[in-house]
Amino acid sequence: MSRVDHTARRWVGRGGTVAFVLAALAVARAIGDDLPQTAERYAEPHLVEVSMGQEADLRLAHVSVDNPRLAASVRGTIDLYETSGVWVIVDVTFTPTVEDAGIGYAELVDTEGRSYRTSRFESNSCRVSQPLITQRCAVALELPVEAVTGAVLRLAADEFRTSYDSMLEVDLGLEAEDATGLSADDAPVVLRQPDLAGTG
Amino acid sequence: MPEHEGEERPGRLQQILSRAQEWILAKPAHVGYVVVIAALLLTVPFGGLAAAPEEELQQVPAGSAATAAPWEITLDRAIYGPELGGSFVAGELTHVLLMGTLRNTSERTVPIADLEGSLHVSGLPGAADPLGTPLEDGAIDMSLGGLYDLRPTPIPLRALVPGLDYPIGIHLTTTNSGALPEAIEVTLSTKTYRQSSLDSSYLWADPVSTAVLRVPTERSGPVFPSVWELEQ
Repeated sequence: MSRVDHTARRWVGRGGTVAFVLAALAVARAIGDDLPQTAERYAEPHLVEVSMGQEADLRLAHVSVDNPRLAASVRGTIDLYETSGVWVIVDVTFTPTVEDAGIGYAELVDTEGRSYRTSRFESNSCRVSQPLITQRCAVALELPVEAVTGAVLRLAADEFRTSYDSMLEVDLGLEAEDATGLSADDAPVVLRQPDLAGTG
Repeated sequence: MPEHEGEERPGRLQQILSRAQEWILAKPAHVGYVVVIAALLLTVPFGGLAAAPEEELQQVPAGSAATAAPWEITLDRAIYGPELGGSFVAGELTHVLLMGTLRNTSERTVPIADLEGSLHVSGLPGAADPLGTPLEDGAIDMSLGGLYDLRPTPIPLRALVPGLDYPIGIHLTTTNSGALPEAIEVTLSTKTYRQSSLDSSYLWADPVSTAVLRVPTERSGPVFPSVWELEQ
């Protein structure tokens, strides 16, 4: 066997090994990309689904939602908020259970998965409350009229860190038709300001 | 002359090719060198290592919409003056308000801080943040607010939800108290929604300039009522 043949055979062998390793890495990557990431799955907030008015036992508070309604405009403490879509307003009742807590995170999710969070500085009137002190407050979120049907509301304690935490989810039961006839000329819905009621 | 009858002496080219083949096959690393050199040679018809020519930015006149993820923006005009009414009261700085329409084209709510990097304003002499600190390179500063919903008077926006049109005013400030140029140019950049390289969060990043909006300016006195005036 000539020297060239020998080195060629050796190179082909090594080349085959390299090709096998690259192919194995590519297959592993393709499979890995499709598998759920364990850490991310654990980090996702735990959704506690409740019905309207039913209390959800979240990690830091008992929370319930009631009185959902639609409006063309909302009045906060000072400003008047108008929209090219529609405002969804809900009243919130929550009682912190273990430490000071509020409702920092509010989100509407439509049937297409689009996410609508608070867009104005005073459109969430909920403030931090102390353990066992029940607070009544309100949240207003705006979204396009066509996104109203089937939208669900999600609430959690922390605005920025929802990982590993529990989160209320409630189907508001609203329909886009409910927004028919709303006009910017209508009197604005006045956002409920927080009031406290001791329970213990 | 061939040494033996019927045997041909290899040509010079064949000798070179044969030696090259031997050298390539001598070590797997040599194959790598050849592959790299071949790849570099393949780029020559496409300009090689020369800098890629920058794409010309789309020129957008006032009143026309421009799209750059996650925004669709129309800028109609810019008014400026020491006092514009509403929240824009007289002080040491001159207020400049870029007025138009803004829409979030993504599927999630985007905070106004993400306008930083999406918009760069050039041609604004004395550009400064609301505290008077000079801003360089046309940067805009949203850390103290700066985006207003103009219905019915300027009201600060915190974020924009998907799919809604907002009649907006982008509030800029300048230390220049004189007349501004006839037009301000706003460069619009598109961003990509991707995972952070530092943690598992997602963010709008990697701005790439796509369009330039030319916004005519006009000096103005107070034009917006205060919320107290609206109450009456």
